[in-house]
Amino acid sequence: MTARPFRVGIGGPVGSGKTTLIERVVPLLLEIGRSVVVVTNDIVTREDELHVRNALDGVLDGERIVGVETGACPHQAVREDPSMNLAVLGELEQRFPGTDYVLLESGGDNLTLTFSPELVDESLYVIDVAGGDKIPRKRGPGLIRCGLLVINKTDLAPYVGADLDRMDADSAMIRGASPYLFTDARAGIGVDAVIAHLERARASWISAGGSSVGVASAISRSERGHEHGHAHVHG
Amino acid sequence: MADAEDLLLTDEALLATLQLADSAFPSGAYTLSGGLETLIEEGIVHDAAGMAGCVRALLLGRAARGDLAALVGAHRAASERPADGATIVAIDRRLEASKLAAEERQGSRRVGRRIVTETARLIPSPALAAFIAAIEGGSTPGTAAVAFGVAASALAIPERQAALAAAHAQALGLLGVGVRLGTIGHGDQQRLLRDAHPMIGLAADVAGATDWRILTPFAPGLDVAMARHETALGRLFAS
Repeated sequence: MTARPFRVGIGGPVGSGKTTLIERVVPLLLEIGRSVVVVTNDIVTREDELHVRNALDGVLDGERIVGVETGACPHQAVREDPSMNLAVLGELEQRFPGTDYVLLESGGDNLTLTFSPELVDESLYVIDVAGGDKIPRKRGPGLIRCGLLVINKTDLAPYVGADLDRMDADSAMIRGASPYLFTDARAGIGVDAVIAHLERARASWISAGGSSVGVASAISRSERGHEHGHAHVHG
Repeated sequence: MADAEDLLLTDEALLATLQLADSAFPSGAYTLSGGLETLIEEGIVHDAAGMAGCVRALLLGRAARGDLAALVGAHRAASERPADGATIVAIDRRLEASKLAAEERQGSRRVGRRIVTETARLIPSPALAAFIAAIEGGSTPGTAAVAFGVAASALAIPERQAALAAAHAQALGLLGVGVRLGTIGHGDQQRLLRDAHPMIGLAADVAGATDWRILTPFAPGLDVAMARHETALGRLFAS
């Protein structure tokens, strides 16, 4: 049996830095010997897919980056009916056996976005300080339920009047024991901590038996009715 | 046409029909526009009348003599005891061969795979299991319509109702694309769906009388639009 990859969903509003974070995370994962595929869910075009391909040109095989159209329903494509993402994941996992990570970028959406536990094993939710420092207080399910909350573009805080201390305190309040962190993904600041989180989450997923199921088909482990090895690392 | 007595569904069959044909059933079909995104983008379809024309082309031009005829054939083969898996595969391959646009073939395959996978989680069925194995083994494409027929048989949905439900779902899906792209509103969507009911019945009649060995779907306007969609800049939909 081939181990299937650890699937990580990355959600967040349009322009919060999901794509940039992926472009920074992938080289670091490759550096520590992990193999990666990327699935983007663009809302309107193939812009993200092409952007990631350009940014990772020479770093990651372009065949390992695939865009999925969501029929104008980005949340449905990762939550209510992730069929097309599951289909593409199955195709990719069959085509690139031995892959360690799937990074699945959701189309930009609102703060209620959560991922189906039948689609991903871990999820990141990316917001940015320029979207307003009151965002954490809005307590969207996306922010509260994700495995890791990433507050990006800290470099912009002085220009948009965002109070990082307030965002920190509010995030601590809504997240409880669950982790969050600050990044400036464009400059690569804080991305190491994201990698560390992913590695921890993947390790506990593996030790929970998550990877030990074959993926010879597009039918995922959970769909076959096995127990779901969902594993979050908190704190 | 079936007489009234034949049309009485058991509670189980009615509820299974509603479940399988529901837009909430996770088939992924909502990501497909069947060429409509291009027709709207290019201004060819821009109002309710244009949407009605698309529904007509879909139901009577394409589905009745293609997808639905294959669905009925697959349902019959799956309902034999034991199920006729070889015929299901033959119908499946023939239906895919009738699909001209690459995006239609790919979309149909993906939705088909999802339908059989999700249905297999609901009910054990040797016919369904054999069809899934054939798809995974690469010996058959697993088109959406054939998958629907096999799934409906597994769920004990009669042939006629399966064809009606699939046609309803296709029409509703296409109208949903028009709503999401802003061409029609929610009220028009329901009115056009209601207007399509006679066509849905007619499509089921034609499908029931069509030999799956002679599939003759014909909707060139939609086929060309789907082919053009492959290189379109705006792509909310996968076809």
